[in-house]
Amino acid sequence: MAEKKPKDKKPKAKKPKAEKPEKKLDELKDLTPEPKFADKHDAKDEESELDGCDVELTENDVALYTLDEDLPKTEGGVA
Amino acid sequence: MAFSLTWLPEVLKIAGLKVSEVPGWQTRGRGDVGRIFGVICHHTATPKRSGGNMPTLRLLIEGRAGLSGPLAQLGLGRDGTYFIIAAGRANHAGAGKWQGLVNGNSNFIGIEAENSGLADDPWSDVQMDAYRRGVAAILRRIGQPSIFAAGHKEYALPKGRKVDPSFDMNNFRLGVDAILRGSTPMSVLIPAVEPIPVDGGTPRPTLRRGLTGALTRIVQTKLGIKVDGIFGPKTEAAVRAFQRANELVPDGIVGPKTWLALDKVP
Repeated sequence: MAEKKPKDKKPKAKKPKAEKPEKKLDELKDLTPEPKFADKHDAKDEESELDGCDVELTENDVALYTLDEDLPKTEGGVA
Repeated sequence: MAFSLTWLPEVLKIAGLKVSEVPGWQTRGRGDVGRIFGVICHHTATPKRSGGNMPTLRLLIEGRAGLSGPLAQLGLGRDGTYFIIAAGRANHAGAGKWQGLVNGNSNFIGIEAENSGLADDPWSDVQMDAYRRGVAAILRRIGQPSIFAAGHKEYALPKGRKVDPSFDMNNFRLGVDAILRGSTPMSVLIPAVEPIPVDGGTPRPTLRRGLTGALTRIVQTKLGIKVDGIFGPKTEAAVRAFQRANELVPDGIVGPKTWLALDKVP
């Protein structure tokens, strides 16, 4: 049997891809994460309260304020 | 055993930010976090008169009466330093919803930034810059866009229950987005040494806590504190006070600007 000659394939000219428009922040607002990875609401979830809204600062809170000299050491930020 | 968020300090340092690791942070948390989708931004509502760089640090670690700590994974000081408080879950978010997520304590990292939230306490440029850069660094690490930076006031339900943070979150996200896209210049770091002085003198190195030597003695003498040549926490606190008095960033680091201000002290 004679060997088949391979057909000459003309290289197809690729269509230039249209550039995707950049997403605007408003569009990103519609993103919803995959819920299967997200945790369900926990009724026992609490919040920091340090926002001046529901709970006033007490004297006990103020007594716990950290002085500058009691802060831990800082690293980074210097070239 | 350490909790999941042990990558926080490295990610923040790579972003050029000042970072302070609070002892025990790796194992601190109300159990571990879940998958992290974003960040919730808070302010501490600390009265301005309280002074100090991060006065609520102990509260954020320990909690308050009837509310156990930690109250955030990160504290953001007035000088733009991130305090790494917990690698595990924190009591920061409460009831709310953002982008379909309803468990803020499990799925969001909480940042408590030191500010009264009132008009008499404007956010400093250095703190806001660090806020945006830190949030951008975290979002980049977890592969999320800027919309996953929520304000507590946006997350909390019912709506209007919370006011923090006091700045505009849409503008904040635009800034975060610009950093994520690379259209904002890198952080300006404090130079390691002074620029070469015009008079030909030797440029002085930047000093910070942990160093010892003759230059620390000079700083301590100028500040009028005990002169022992050891740049410890008390020297750092004195430098911060000096910087506040001279309208410099009160970070306790003696860089070129602070050296210049110290030079004016007889």
